[in-house]
Amino acid sequence: MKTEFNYFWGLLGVLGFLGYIMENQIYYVFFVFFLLFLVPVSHKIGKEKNKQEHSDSDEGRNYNVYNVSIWLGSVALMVSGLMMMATKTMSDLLAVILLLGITAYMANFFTYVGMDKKAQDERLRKIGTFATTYSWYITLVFISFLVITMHWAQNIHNPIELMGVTIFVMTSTMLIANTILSRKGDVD
Amino acid sequence: MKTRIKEYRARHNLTQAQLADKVGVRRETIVFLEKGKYNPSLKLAHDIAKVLGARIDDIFIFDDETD
Repeated sequence: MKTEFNYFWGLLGVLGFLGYIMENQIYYVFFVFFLLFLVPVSHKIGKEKNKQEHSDSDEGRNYNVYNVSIWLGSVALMVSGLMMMATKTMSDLLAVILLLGITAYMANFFTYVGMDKKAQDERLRKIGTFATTYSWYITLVFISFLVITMHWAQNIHNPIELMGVTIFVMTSTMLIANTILSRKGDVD
Repeated sequence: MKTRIKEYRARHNLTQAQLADKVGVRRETIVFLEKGKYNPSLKLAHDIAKVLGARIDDIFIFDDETD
């Protein structure tokens, strides 16, 4: 049986374990995400074990787990973005939420957009590429105009607030564009 | 674009999931292909035609061909 080690999953496990050692409740959040990532990993191992019994419904369920991880990660990123905009400052809790969100993205993003080498799907890849391009473009235009208007209005915002706006716009536009294009079926 | 994937799939007694597995895509991609909502790459069209034992132009019919 070939078991591949997922570094992000491992990192979450170690951080979750740190919660126990350091008696810091914030670290327990990592353990929840560790359990969340355990699902796709166990699916992968199960698939290796029973190649004969492999079915496409497993593949679909597996992808749905990645999908859910990205949605949860996006929620974490958007919540942290909104909190950064509202509070105009960083806190430990905010840093943990941000870290969880970005970890979910780092672990699952390429599977979500169909660019995972082990599970390539040309439609997902095509849609994902367009969605991320739209997202990048909208974010660039939005942030540029925001900074220009801020300068002209002589109302310079806090950098943390601007980072919050960037994270929120980038995450939400990518998710919305990907969802719309997925329902449409193609980008043409 | 219209496709005859469903018809050929039925002849070969293949489910959408089985065809998707054979050509290395997700089942949803086959669903969108059958509905004519997705334009496949040449490689995917070739792979599907190969699995279904037909030529690409037997399976994929472009709108200008139907006129």
